[in-house]
Amino acid sequence: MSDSFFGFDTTLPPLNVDQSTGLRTGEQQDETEEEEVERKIKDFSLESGENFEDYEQNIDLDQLEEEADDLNDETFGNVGDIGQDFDFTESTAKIVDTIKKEEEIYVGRRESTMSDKGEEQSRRRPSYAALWGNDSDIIFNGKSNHSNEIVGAPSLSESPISPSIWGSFHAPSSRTEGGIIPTSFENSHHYTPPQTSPPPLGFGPPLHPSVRTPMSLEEIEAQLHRQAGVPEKRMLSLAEVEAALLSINGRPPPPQHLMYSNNETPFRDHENPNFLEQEAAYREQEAAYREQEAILFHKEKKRRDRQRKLVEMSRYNGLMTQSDKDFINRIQISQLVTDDPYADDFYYQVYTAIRSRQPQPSISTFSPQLGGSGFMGHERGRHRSRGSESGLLKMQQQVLRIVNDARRKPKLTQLSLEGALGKIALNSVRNPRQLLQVSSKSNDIHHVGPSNGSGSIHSQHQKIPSISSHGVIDHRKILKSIENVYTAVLALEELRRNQPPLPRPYADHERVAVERWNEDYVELAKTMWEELRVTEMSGCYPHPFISVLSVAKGKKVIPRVIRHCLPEQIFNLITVLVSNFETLDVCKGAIWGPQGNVSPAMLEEVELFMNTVVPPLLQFVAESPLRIVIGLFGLFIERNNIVWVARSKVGLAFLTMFLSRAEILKQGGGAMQGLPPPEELEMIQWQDLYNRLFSLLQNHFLSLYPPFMIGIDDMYVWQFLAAMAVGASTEQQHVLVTEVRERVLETVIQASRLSADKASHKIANVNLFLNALGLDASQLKV
Amino acid sequence: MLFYSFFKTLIGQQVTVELKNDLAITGILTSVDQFLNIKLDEIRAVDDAKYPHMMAVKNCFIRGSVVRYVQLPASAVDTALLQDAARREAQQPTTGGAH
Repeated sequence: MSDSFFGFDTTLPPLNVDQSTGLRTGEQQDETEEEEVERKIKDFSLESGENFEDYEQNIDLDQLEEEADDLNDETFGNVGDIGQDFDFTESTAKIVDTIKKEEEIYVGRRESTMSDKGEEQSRRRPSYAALWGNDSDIIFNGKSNHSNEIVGAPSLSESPISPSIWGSFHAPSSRTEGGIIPTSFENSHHYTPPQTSPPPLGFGPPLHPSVRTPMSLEEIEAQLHRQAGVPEKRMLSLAEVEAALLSINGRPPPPQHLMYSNNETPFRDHENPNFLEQEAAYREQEAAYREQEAILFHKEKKRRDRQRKLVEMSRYNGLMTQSDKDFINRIQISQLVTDDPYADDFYYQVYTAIRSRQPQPSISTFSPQLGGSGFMGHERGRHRSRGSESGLLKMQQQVLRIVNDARRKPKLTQLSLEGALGKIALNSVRNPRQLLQVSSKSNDIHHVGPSNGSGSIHSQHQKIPSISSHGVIDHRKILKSIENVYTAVLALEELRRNQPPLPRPYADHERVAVERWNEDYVELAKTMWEELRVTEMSGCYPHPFISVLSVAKGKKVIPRVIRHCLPEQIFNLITVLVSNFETLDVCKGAIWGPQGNVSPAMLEEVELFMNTVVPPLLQFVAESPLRIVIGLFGLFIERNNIVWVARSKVGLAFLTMFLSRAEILKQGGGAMQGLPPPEELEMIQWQDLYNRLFSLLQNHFLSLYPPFMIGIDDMYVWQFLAAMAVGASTEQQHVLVTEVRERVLETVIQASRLSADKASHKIANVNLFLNALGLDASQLKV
Repeated sequence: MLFYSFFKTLIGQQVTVELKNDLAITGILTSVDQFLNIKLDEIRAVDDAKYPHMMAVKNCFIRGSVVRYVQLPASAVDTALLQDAARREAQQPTTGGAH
């Protein structure tokens, strides 16, 4: 038999080096294996009580023959001498081409091909060859498997020759010797795990090792059984092997397992109630698997969807070249690009500057494509990596070119083609189609001609609280001059932003630049000051500057104006304001009557005045020497009906401002600001003024308060009274207390009825005054 | 360009865009261009009961010409600066008639 085995082998197509080495090791392996097989058979026969003597003898015979190695050459040489029973190669060699062609099909439907025994003889081999050939390829390619894992070695050695082993060796022997096959098979299961365990290693696609390999094993087994006529129960043993295999693999594929448990549980339920626990475990496992599966399925679906979309989109990949894209970009950018971001993108630029306090880039574009914010500045570019920096640089250069182009040829707003009827309007983002066509000519007529639009002018006059007895001050003129102030202020602010650096020595152009900047600045500041009309002596009433302050935006511009003013100019401004105080809208319009008749709109104006005009003036006064305070204070008392003015919030605020500053200076607070201590004469002058104010306000202190129950915060009054009280003599303090005693008590009583935080505020207000007198609200007995 | 400049500062803020077809969409402004086309993210129709089909939409692009109003977050608007910007816009020499 072994002869036939070897004889069979010699006619095989030439082997490559790997295969031949595998063959050789396989021979050695076979010898040792056969010894092992004998031993096992003996053991088995002892255990099972069956008599395998015949088989042993047979095997012994074989071995005896095999031992006669000296005749091997002859045997190999004379294939023909040996019976045709074993000459499979010759028969197969005839149909080798057809086999090769049909190989794939047979692999596909191996089971169906086994029906016919006669055909099976010839066909089995190619199907095996396909099986083994594929697998041996994989094994040979994965040499590391062979060298590292002992398990892999036998399979490697067996694989090249196994077609002949199984095709010729086992098949005939089993036909004649029935029982051997199962035994050897079981043995092989015992001592050569490679036969079962290699499949997951090298066989088949790695994704489904246990699905495919058992199939092939089963198939092999089925064929063997068919040939040997072995009873069906051996199949079960193989199934057991398979189960063992699965458990050895450690990680059975979830779906298969799931199916298994699905099928099993009902049976077990009926057959054996002891399995309840196991069943619960199964169920749990099942649920876990299902969950996992659902998640996996979901993920997979998502991934597929995305993949599909990507594929869909990738159809359009490369539709545009880079230069196409650049061209489109340029079209878009050229609409947005500007050489002066502060002119065209003012809001964004200043807003981001205010919000983020970041240094302003010198060049900027509008484009949202360039960097997230549409900024492209040196400041930011510096922090970028080299690659993106060069990209940015390129973009920047492009932008510069566009800017220069745009500068060279100013945009046309209209285009008249030759022979065309009418004109073509070139509307763009910068030049939108105008919905309103207001001709400036008619506007001028309306403005200049007094008869032409008198109605509207009158209505304007009613709006502004001005007495137009001497010389009509056109409200529009005031608005116009305020706008001019704004224009100048904006220009000044822009100049400030673009202030050239201090000139280095010997750098004439820098010095010239600074000089020019200074000239521009002085010029603009002068324009602004003139437009503010502070020094205008037109003799009209109210003073033009007061008219400016009567408009909300006129108030708002003051803090920005003062930043560009010289101290003398501020002094001028405050002098004009103080001497015309009672004509101020927030003064004359915001005096509380007994019923409280100040409109909410006016209260808003008052708040605006307190928040915009007062703070910069307060700052100026807070740095002034006593001489200036006395001057302003004197003017204030002299030029205004102080009892009336003091009833307005702003009037009282100004009085408080002067009083507290004078008090600070009297107590030597000016030393901290580098001011000399006030002279004796100034102290006397101040005291005179104070006494005058006190006598003026005497018997009117209570009228300074806003109506009691109106809900207006009267803190400013308490502040004023505190300022008065600090500088007051004992008799004056007594007068003060007597006059406002009622109000103090009322407030404290009211506070006792209010919630805690409101009450504490009220009490704090009262304490402002009482503390100045050295008293406290808690001492009062209500 | 003032409006473009203005809307750029609102990027990242929540706005409500009222369209000329009375659909009002609240969402986070992601981008705006010179035509005042608007891109919104995390959108929600103000009246979802009336526009149930908008429930599934998470972001959108709105053509500038179909916008009627945009409701802005007051805290994100610097009105004083806006006035200045309007003044500057008016001052530009080309703005008088053409720009």
